[in-house]
Amino acid sequence: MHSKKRARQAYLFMLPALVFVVAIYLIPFVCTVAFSMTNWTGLGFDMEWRGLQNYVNAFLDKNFLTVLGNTFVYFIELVILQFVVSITLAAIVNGEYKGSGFFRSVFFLPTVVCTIAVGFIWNIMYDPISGPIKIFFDAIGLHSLSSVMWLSNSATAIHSVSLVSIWQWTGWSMVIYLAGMQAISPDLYEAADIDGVGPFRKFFKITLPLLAPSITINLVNSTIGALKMFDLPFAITKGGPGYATETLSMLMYNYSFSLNKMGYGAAIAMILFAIILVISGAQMKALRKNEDNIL
Amino acid sequence: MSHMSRIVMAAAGLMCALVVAAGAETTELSYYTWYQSSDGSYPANMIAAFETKYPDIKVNLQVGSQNVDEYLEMQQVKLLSGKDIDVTSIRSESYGSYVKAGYLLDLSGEGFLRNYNKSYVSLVTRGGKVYGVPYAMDVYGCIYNKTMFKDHGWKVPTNYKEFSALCDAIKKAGITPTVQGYKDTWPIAQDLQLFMNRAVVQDPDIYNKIDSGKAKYTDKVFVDAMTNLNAFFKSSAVSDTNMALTYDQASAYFASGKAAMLMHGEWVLDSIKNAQPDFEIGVCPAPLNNPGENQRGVVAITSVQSIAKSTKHAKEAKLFLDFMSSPEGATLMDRALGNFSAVSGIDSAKLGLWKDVLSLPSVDFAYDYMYTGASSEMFKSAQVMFTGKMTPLEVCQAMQAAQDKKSK
Repeated sequence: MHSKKRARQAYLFMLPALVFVVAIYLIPFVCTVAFSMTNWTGLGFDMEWRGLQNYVNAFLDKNFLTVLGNTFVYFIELVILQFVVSITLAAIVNGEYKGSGFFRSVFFLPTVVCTIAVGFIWNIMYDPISGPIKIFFDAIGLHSLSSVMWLSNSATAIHSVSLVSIWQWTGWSMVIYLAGMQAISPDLYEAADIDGVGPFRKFFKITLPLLAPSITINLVNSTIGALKMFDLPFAITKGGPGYATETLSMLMYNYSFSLNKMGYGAAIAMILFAIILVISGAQMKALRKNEDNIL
Repeated sequence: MSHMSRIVMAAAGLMCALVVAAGAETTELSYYTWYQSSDGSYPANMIAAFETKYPDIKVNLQVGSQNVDEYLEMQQVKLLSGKDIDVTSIRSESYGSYVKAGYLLDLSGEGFLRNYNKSYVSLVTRGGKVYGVPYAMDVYGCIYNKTMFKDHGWKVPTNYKEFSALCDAIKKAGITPTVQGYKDTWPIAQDLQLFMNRAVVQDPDIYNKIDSGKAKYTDKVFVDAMTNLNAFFKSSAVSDTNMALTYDQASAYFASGKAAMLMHGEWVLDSIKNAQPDFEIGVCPAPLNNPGENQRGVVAITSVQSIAKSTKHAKEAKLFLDFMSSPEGATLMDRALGNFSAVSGIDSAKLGLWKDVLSLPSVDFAYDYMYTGASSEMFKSAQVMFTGKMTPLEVCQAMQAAQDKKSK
């Protein structure tokens, strides 16, 4: 009796949050699934049932397949490079020496800048006429690199955008790895020192395994962020040249709001959702298993 | 009358005045637009003048985003919900779909339509009815560095052959002949106009035919236009940095005297003037024509002012449109913004620069009535074509594929 009363109280306390989740997440999700099976334009309420036709059309669309490929390129580059760079930086700034605090702040600073502003800044950086990158390469005599139009050459544009994203978010990952490193007991390193273990072996045999929880958090976050990237390529290149830097989120946005094909855009949204669910789910499973083995 | 009686009478009179004032209803209109002059004076001054004329009507101005997509999204939300929108500025490319969706009030037969040139009103007529006033016009031409032309003895071209020869001469002088902001995609259409206007001149109904399937983007006229654009891009007439320049950067490039010409409309002049060029700006008709063919002035209705069908104040909204369509209201717009007013008889200072273009028989913008999906695909595929990864025919095929999706 007493436990039933307590359960009722618990549900009452949960109710506001539940209402919020249902209203903000569940209902829109169900609506998106429904709209993805119609030809709704987004204007008015006229729509016809299409079944899975929007999904079929997506996979038959050459532009969709190009953009899907771009999304995976971003995913691979951002996840791998951001992991390598941020863990390296964390290892470098871990430790109390003169300037370590300053460098931690400097590396973290891009994270707090609004992504749209980052896009505008890097547009100027990549300017082929008077941008700092061109001026730098000219100054050191690398004229072949100074003449590259980084953002309007389809071979370099996507990697140029990836680089900006890595520049912006590495500091965030670094801070999480730093916190993980500082939680590792110094006794383990002392014991390793006594055994004559070198710094690289210490890193790979002690630091890296014990960073498993931080690695899980960072990899899953960067995976989800990379797969649903929108604001940075939108600000820097608007998806161009052609579709070279466009992502699934941008394609969904264009179809839904610019081309008045909300039903098709909803289908793209559901495909993106499924991709993120599968990849991040598999990643979480594998990384948690790895954590359990190590810890 | 005793002192007390006077006080009571005065108090009663004050009470009556307050009651009358409370009873006099003020109608509030919501006006959603993207139009705002750079100093913010317009349309506030136009609204103030209207409210002076009609003290019982208050206009709640809402200036939307200057970003086209953001503006359209908000406008669609307002029109769909029917809330917070009585009068609104509609982009010409959205007008047709809004009419079809039933968002706009029928204005056919309204007196203020007589203030406009009949040919402009016909451009906003759908199914025999008018759902908005053709508020502002864009005019397209060749903007050139007049000082540079004078210094080098170059003559303004009157056809495409003279234009090509002029570009060669400019290039030999070590100056970039033309510049454009291809990175922003839509400026590609400004160079494409040189070649694609032929389709509109040959058949003003071409886009309706494409919509109905009677014509295709893979027809010769469009493939030729795309082939000519590709050749133009690869020629020395075009800056080799076009692909890396945004619209603003291209305007600044021209304003700094690095390029001799810029194919654009009157909207770019503000951008050029803000960069404070130290030369005289000239405008001539765009060299769309071959030798022996007539020159044409390229003109389009760029925005329509309409009343939302959901409005609860149709009478007041029509008064507002009437005022905007009057010489007084239209002159305020003309003075403040780069666009031309479509209202007849406005004495516009801008006319001087564009006089030659406006004096010619007019033809519409080459891309104005294209289905948005096809034009969007055209811009993106043209970018890919410029990198050498698509042929002009493949670009036209992509445009047709996008057009075919319209009905799916």
